[in-house]
Amino acid sequence: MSMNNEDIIKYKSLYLQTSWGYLNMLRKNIAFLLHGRSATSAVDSAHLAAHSLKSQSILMGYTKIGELCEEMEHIFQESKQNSAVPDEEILKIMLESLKTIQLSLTQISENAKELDLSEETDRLRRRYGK
Amino acid sequence: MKILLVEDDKFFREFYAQKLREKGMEVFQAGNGEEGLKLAGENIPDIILLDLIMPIKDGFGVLEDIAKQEQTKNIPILVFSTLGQEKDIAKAIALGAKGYVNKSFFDFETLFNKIMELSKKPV
Repeated sequence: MSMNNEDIIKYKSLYLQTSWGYLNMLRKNIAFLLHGRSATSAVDSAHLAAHSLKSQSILMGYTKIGELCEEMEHIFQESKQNSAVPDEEILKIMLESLKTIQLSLTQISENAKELDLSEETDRLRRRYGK
Repeated sequence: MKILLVEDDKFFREFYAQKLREKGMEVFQAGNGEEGLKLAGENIPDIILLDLIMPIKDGFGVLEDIAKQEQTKNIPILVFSTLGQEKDIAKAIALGAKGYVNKSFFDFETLFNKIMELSKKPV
């Protein structure tokens, strides 16, 4: 069950504010990993950002952002468990996907509906093979 | 009724704190596990709502430390989970959590009933 309309209006500004923060956190840490710099803290931070953006998006009813972030969270969760970094192609797909999340957040801020991100989610899912 | 809400996400913290206050509850907020432990020791809440994935000290660390301290070991803890955290929930229950709620699916009645059931105190 997501929020009612009154709460969505009331909390949208805070949602967008925190979402931009998580998006930047994801971008920064994925770029760090993509440049071959391996660090547990980058995987941890990316996992935390994907987890938080997923959770709050679902509560607000923005399920497409939630589903895409859930895929990223899952990948980083496994990376944490295996003490490994996702491969370069997956990181590139994630970085590309962040651009569409950014567009979707812009749409939301302009009082439009979120974008359909199913293609990005499926692409990541197919490439990750889980 | 005193509730300690330990949650790193500002959005969730503010939303749930406001909803609980609207029901007459006194809410203390902590943004990470260490801060949560400090507030738990200082204020002895009737119940703790605890996020699991947090920076600095995560929810599992909080569960372990709460159980070690005489003044906090009997405070009931309700875990704030989300989708896909089944393993985390099981681990949290094994560490002493009394239950969980999915924070991404807002259902205040369920949350309120769980709080009442675990704290056994009037609002």
